[in-house]
Amino acid sequence: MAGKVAYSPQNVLVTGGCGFIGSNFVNFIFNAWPNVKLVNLDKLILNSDACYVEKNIRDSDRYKLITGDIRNRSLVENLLQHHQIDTIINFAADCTSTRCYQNPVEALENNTVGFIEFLEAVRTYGGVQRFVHISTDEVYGDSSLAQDEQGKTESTMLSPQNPYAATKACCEAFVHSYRASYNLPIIILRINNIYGPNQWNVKVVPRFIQVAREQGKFTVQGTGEQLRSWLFVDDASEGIRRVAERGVLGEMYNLGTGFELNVLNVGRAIQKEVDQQLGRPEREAEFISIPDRPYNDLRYLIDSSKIERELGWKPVIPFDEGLRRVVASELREKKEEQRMNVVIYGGGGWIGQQFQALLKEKNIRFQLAECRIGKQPDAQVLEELISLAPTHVVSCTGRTHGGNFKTIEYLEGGADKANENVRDNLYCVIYLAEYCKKLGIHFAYIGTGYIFKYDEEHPVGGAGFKEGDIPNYFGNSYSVVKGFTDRMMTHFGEFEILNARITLPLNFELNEDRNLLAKIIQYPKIFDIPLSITVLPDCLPILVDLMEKRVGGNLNLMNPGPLSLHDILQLYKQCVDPNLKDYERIGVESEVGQRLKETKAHCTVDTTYVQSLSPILSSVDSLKAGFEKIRLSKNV
Amino acid sequence: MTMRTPKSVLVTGGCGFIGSNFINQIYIRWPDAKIVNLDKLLPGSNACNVDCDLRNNAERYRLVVGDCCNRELTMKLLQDHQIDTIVHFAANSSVDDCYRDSVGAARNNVLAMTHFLEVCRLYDRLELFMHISTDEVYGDSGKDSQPKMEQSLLTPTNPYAATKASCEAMLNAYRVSYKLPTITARMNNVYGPRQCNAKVVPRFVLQAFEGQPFTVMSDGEQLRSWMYVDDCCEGLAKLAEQGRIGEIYNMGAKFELSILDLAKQIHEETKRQSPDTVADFSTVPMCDRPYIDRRYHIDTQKMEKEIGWTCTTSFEQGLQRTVAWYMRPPMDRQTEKILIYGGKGWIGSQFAKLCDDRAVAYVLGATRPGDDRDEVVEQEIVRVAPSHVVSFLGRTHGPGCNTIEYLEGGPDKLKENAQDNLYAPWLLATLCRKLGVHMTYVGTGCLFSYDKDHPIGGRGYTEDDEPNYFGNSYSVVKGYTDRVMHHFDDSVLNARIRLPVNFELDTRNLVAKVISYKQIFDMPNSITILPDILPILLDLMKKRYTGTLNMTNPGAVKHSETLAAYNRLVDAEKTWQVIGDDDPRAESMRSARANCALDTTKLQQLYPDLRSARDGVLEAIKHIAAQRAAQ
Repeated sequence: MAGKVAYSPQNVLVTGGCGFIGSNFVNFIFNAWPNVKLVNLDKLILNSDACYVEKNIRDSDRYKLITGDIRNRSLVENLLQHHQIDTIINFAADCTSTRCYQNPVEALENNTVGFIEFLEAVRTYGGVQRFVHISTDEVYGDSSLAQDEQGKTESTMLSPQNPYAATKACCEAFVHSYRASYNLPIIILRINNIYGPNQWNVKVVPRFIQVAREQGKFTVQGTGEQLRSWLFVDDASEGIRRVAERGVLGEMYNLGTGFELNVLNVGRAIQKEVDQQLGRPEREAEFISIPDRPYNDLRYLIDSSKIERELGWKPVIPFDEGLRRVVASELREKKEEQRMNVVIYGGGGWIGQQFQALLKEKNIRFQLAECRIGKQPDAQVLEELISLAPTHVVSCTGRTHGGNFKTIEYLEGGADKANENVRDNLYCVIYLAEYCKKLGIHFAYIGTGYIFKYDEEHPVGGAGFKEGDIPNYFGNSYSVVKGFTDRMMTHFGEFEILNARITLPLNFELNEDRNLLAKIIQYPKIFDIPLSITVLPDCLPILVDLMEKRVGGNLNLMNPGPLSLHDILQLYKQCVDPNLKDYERIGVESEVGQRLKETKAHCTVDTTYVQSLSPILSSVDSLKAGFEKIRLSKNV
Repeated sequence: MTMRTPKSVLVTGGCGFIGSNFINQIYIRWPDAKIVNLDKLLPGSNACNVDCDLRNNAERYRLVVGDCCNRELTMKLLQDHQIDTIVHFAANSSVDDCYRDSVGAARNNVLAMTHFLEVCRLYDRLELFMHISTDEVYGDSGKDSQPKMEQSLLTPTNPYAATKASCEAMLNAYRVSYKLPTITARMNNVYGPRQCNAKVVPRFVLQAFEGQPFTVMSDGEQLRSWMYVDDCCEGLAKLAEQGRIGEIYNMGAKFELSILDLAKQIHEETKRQSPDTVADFSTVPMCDRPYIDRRYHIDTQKMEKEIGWTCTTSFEQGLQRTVAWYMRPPMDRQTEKILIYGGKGWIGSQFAKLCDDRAVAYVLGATRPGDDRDEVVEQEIVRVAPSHVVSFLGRTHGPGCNTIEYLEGGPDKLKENAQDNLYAPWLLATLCRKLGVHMTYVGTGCLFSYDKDHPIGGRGYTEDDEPNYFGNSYSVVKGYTDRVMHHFDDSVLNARIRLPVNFELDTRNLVAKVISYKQIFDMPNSITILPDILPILLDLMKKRYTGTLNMTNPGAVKHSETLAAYNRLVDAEKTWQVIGDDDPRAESMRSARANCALDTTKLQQLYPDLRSARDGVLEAIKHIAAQRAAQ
């Protein structure tokens, strides 16, 4: 039977506390447990947002957010120890069935393998008194639509019917084995369909509120007659609290409501509530049907009598009241958000500084790493990486010059130069890629397209180099090493590891001596061959956007439409400075031009992919816009 | 009831215990069926567990070495052989392994199977996917509790059982979502011929036979049901023929026996068959697991009613056959198939010869990693389907230059260096990790130089030390290779060797070189006596050892010691000069090469009999002298 004396938590770790249910639970429990310290571990994936936790909590001494993945064993062990955690409420999971259908292996890696790593850390720590594992009613499989269908009880056999549900059933299997083998004080709580504030807008309720607000048509999968039960999130939070305080260790509890509606009726109710709150005349809800998922579970019906009987819990918030609250919350303007915690390597360099400035402008939290990868022991680098607890790492490192050399000529020479080159241009990158992958951190590497040159298949004016092409230019030691780095990065592609190749990066600050534009204005000779260029004020914001979406793989991050340096200068002359000093133009057809074409990494890069991901100006339009700004600032 | 007659069967894990017995049985039972056996040859499996008749019948049987996670390979197998039936045994069934590394166990058993299910879904022409599970998924049964039915709750008590319950959860999702035609068999403990020696029945038989005490876990009172493997395989074959798609079946014997009683019975039976060798019965405790289930008690009525199957071999009969089998002389073993890169080089060819001598199956890699496109190399690994890859690739010299000075120079040299010394081994490690193949990188210990923490005669560099010598481009690049190999600690053996010596008059043999020197720079160095180390390397591969390991013989040797020994044993007239510290050349000679001693504690713990570097050199000189004399 349930404990008569309530367990009283002191230091609570909530995982996934920036997600939907997790953040609502944090907001709820902060007041319900007025003396506890709350640590929130969240990797800010999908729709999670650190600002879902209310501001007064975020500002409180009783609350701390640590961004990171539960699979990061060292991070977890450190925080358990440091905060003397006695209670864990584990929400963290990738909860989207569709994503799980697309890549069940990744889903298993994220939800189950990550969870086992977490269990290992908890077991090693040994100080946890209560561990509530949040599972889902989907582990039971669906129920029939019959009127007399019985709800699933805790002793019903599990029959997960989609990969997401299967990953959660796998977690439960490991919960049982850790309970038996190591006596971990775990309780499983299977929650059914919940709605409330902060829910991702791919889910039915927020999606419908959006539609209702715009007076559009509601899309429903299949017939829309799937019965779902609807539990308001604060009711669920109260249930979790009771389980944490009085639940019996090793037990399983269903948490749900017998209140069921099909999505058509939910749509109608939402349209009505939204119209009311907006003070508009009520509108008849309209629906369109879209194809089902490969298997769309029709109905989840669970029996929550155990938690009601043993812990005295039952839902108290009626559907119309819950709906009123969630609609009010959705209609409110969101003021703040925090979806990333970026760590920058090489933030002091020319591009690194621009990247910093951009993050500041976008109000995105970031820190600079201090360790020099390769120079310092790997263990020290790893310790720093873990202690900084990033959700995203970006590497702007790279060795292109040094000493008296302003160019990559610096890297030519003996073993000492080979060492700097391989260390800073290859090892540093691969190290970060490997550890970010292991620790569940998104990694973006600002790489280079300076590894290609025009060849027969990619002639001047012809097809550009694609993301899948491998380096064909080995004319200097920099390109040689960067070429191998690029090939190595390709193998991380399926994970959240982004290899953003840039070429001839420029911006419109003429006083920055690493800026290509500032350099070429001074050149006495200009080679007139088309080249792909990266206009940083366009491309860096795209990079940040793709990081937030956790895009991985190779990416040619250049503006569409190659231009020659001659074209750029002529455009500059036309837009900014008619008195630009003369220079000698070297044509491709000339003997010198032919030789340059053969020996340098001149190339056009295919930008179809980046264009498919994000709107991006062509090189010409981008330059024109930038030059216009220079002209205006000069006139001022 | 419809009867299925499988025409083309893919058995995974068919070199393991039950898998191989199953193959041997269906070969006769289904005379028209083609059988493909996919097995990664984990320790305990043996390709020769499959009967010789089958192995010689190329028309009906084929072994493919590989992991279920290798999607390219499994898809190719399904398509090429038009597979209609899969029987999925493959899993790491060692409970101890799963306790040691739960995450690794989940990857090995659950993730790999999910990769495989994805392929099966895309292939879409299966008539049956039969999944072999275990009664352990139910967890513990009390003394008086009801037997577990197929719809009972699963509450596994150890990580192995949790991985198997997880496999079932995934399988269920594929059954429902993609209409995969599944049948699951949850089986009792199985015993019989071909089980690997670590498992309890063969362990007891061998202990009895050797007159050793029986090693018993916990109090030995834990109950298990014992199903003879031939019964089990017959049941599985019947299930494949008649079982209802989508169903789960418990399979087992009604016969329960505690571990202690099992030990006693085995003792008696072994004594009966071999009265001279068996000592009196005694037991010793062995290390406990965190949790031992008291009993697995399952209800097998469904199988009896629907399939008409029940165990027919009495425990006495089964035990008698099993003991007899383990007392026979050991059978042939094929436990690996090695893909060798760089097998034509100096060290690689010595390794290949060793494999020849030991009848270890191997293939020489034909692609050139780094030089060829990565897909081409991957396709080769998929096509060859090895259990192990070993790379002897590396660039130490080239046209016109016989030393690592070859690698000094411009971008072209850096390209060769980075490609052959870094990218190629990294690529192989990456591909092998993805494809579930064990990989060995034969790297170098020439990454360090003596410093104040590691002085001459003081402590050596350990496996965890990071390179501190950057005096030539070879060592620079190899240093980063060594560091990236540390990222593969659970899938790659990073074998650091240095200054290799063999027993031949060979231009690349360090000892042969030294005895020709007239002037030497005399620093003590760790060296690798190849005739000692290569067999160890092969043994470590068989054990699927991973992580970094210093593979030099213990102790460091100076050239002057080698030459002195040469004077003593071969040619007293040989003279040489030592380049002293005051010599103007000394500084550049010191800095151009990595001079260091490696700490070999780890290797010596694994191989305590390994001789010292000094003794190895003496042996080499003796051999060289003999060869000189013969010339």
